[in-house]
Amino acid sequence: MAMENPTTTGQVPSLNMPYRTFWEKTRRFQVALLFLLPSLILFSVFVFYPLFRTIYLSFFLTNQKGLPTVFVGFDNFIQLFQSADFLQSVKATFLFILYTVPASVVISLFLALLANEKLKGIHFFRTIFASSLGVSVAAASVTWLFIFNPTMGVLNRIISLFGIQEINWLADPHWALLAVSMTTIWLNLGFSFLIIFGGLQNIDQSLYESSSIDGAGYFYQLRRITIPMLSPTLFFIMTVSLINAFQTFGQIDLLTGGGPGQTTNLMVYAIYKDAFVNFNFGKASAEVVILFLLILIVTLLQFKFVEKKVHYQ
Amino acid sequence: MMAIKRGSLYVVLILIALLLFFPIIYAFLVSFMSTKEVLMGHLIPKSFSLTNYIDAFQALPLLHSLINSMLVSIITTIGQIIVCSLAAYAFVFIEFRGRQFLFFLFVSTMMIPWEASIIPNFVTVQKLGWINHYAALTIPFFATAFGTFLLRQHFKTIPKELHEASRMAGLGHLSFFLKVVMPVSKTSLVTLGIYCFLTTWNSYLWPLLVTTDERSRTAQIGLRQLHAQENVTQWGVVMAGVVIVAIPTLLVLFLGQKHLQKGLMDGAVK
Amino acid sequence: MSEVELLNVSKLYGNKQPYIIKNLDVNIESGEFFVIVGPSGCGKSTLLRMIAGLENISEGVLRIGGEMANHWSPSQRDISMVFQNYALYPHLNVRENIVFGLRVKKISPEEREKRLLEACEMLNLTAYLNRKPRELSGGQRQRVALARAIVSQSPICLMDEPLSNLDAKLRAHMRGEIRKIQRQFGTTMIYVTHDQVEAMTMGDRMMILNQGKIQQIGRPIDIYNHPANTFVASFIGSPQMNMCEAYYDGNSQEIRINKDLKLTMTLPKLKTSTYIIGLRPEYIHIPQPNNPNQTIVQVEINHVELLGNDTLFSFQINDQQWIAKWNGQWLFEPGDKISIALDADELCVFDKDTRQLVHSSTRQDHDELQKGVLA
Ligand SMILES: Nc1ncnc2c1ncn2[C@@H]1O[C@H](COP(=O)(O)OP(=O)(O)OP(=O)(O)O)[C@@H](O)[C@H]1O
Ligand SMILES: [Mg+2]
Repeated sequence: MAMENPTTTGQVPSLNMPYRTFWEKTRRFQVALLFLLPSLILFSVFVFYPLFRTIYLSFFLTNQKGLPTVFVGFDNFIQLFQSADFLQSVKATFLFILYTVPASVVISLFLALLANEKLKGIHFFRTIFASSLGVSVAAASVTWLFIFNPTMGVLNRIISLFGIQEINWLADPHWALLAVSMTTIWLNLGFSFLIIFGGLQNIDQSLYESSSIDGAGYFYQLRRITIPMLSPTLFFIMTVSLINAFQTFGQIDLLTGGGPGQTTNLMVYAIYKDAFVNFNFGKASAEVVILFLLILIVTLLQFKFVEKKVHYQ
Repeated sequence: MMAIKRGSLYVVLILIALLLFFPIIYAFLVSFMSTKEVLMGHLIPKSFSLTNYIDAFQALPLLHSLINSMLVSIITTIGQIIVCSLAAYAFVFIEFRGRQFLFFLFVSTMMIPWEASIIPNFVTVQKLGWINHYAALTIPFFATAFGTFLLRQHFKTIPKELHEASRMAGLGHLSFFLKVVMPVSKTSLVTLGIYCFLTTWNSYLWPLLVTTDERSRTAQIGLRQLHAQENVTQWGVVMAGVVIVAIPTLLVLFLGQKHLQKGLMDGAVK
Repeated sequence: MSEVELLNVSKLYGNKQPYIIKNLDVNIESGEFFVIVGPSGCGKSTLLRMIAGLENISEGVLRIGGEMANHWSPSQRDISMVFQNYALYPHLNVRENIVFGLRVKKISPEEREKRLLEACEMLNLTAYLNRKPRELSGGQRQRVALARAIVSQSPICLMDEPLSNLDAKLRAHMRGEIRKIQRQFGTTMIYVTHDQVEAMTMGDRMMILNQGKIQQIGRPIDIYNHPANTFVASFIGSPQMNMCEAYYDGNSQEIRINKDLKLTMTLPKLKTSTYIIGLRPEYIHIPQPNNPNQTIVQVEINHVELLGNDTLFSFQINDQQWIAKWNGQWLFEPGDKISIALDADELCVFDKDTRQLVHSSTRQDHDELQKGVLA
């Protein structure tokens, strides 16, 4: 070697950080903690503590103030599973998910594909398609309440044009959940559309160009390029819609109040009534725990079975 | 051939747009009708009189609830941007022990629906004496995993050399954050801002729980009351309320759609 | 006095093996233009970033201006750095970008303005002061990055492949600019590059790094002429040095490349054994009449490249492809058999096992002699 070592290892202080105290060594951690502190405090108070508190409360009977009185073990849960009302609310929730989630995703995908065409004035249509994101649950529910109105509402007027007799949409046990689902789908479309459309726009145009050169038609491209490339987005929006569906409240409160005959008594609405109308925090907490577990299980199942079909780049 | 295809596309687009936008148009039209017209089931009002709007404002402190909603949404938006960008900064620009774990902790909060924590949260807010205060409507929403995640994705696209160049120039973390990271990330901050504004303005269950008096109600709860009060007779007035409550968010959405579309995608999937 | 001094410096990322830099020792003098070259991934950037204070030093000592600087923060070291991707602040215009660091250091506005104008004058940036980086061409951005380093007036400047994103012409121009500015300010420059030409032409000294270890340090021309080992020999010079195994017989004082090719050579220090010999492409000559030093051999050409001013052609020696570089335009065809002349004085000889240089070409000494005669 052309170079010779001018110093031997012995002369060089081998310890790089001779006088660093613990305080100095964890310096970066402290700085990071400072930046994270607001979030950590808020998460602890409003997310983590309540989660454990809810689980705790679900094992107790509670008094009018919501304080735990008697430890009852799994009694709250056992009672829930023996209660027809609760089982009905679980059933209604799953039916509601079945009615709303696939329909929202499919319709928004269709809308996004339409909005992705290169046409004059397409921006206007994109805005319209996204518009329901700008309408609150309350405003939408009140509007649909009127649309569903048996005598004055526009829906019955339209179907009467076809000679179908009036339907009492929100008071008829056969129709109430469907009516709520319709409102929900409409409400969801804006957000789902925006996300899926964003996903479409992110697909590299050169993929289409090269497959066009190979002579692929629109539907071939849709099947072989668009859907696979879009699958992470579709998966994301499915997960989000699902979790949102589990948490539905406003539509129920304004449209049906859980009726008729409990058919639209979705879980969160049931929890609300148990907790804040009947002040039975113990029972409501048990319901929350079950809701949480259901969301967890369904999401995990979705990750396990659907995510495999997702093509990440 | 091309022309036919394009023509039919337009027909489809227009029909679908009408169908989707119908509830909004319908609410708008009904809001101008007299009670008699509503009862007769008209679709187009005879005249565009503002009586229903005046009645809506008189029936309730609607104006007050609008101001409440506006303030609550703005405060939450600003608070969320500050808190989430601070957290996102730490995750991207500071290498510290336990970063992975803390990030996992943050992401896991996405799995816990707000509804699942509503009972203890209500008690907490009660104990803090925040019932009927803005604090209850804003502070719990300052920290969100979604916002942190979205901003983190964007901060990660900032070249690390920018950070290094600033370090060599003698900038500390806080000034790098304020002078470089925040201005460079304007787009994603706007995205988060729009999204946060929309969701806060539109939230329903929590404001319903933590506000009990008229003066602290938000617009959504005002609408609920309007509907409860006027139910059978005054649909025109109720629809006027709907239009008033929906206009601010529709405006925000129309103005910010481009941002939202791009920014949300980046946060969601990448 | 040496400005930057590395004593036995080593680097591990996250305390995990392997060593990215191993026992590095080097002194960089004040006002020196010091070039670091090496293959991709050999640790050049890592080394530079350790000097800048952007990476911590796992073992060893770094001295700046004679003082131990291992734990100084980047800003304490008073070093400027030009990044490969320029690292311009996208939200600031050219002016703000250039004075950004001066603001932080609380330098007075008048002084800031003075330095800014000076630097912009020198780099022809005055017309772009109000533009954002995205409105500039690659070369202009590069110059802004350079201006930022200049105005800081730091005694030490680090550059990490600063010209790699530029086209050939601009690169040639910027080479001259950087060298000029460095001389003008007497800056100690540590300059990382991939580029042969930059390495050869810009530096006072250069260091060749491979797998985190120093291969050689010295004046570029000395390294070219006396590569310390086979790695340096093949890394420096383009096309690279031709090499193959050869047998040296101490008794007959002959180097045998194969049965047709023997060169007479006196290497008193070497014992009879197999060595690796190296010969630069430009030392493969056109046979000349009456030259007693040359050994002539017939080869079959298998590839030709006409470069305009030079002609490259390759042929097989033992199992190795050799390349020759002749001046002018030679219209050979693959398959042509031609005679070439080799000169034993121009051979480098490396140990077969250690791959270290044991004898280097004496040819360049003749050149210096000629120069002396001309003067
Ligand atoms: N943050 C890091 N963590 C772990 N290993 C790293 C890190 N940064 C670099 N390395 C490794 O260190 C080695 C040297 O990297 P370095 O960037 O110094 O190479 P380089 O000589 O600058 O190469 P190039 O010429 O390609 O820029 C590489 O093998 C690289 O994989
Ligand atoms: Mg490098």
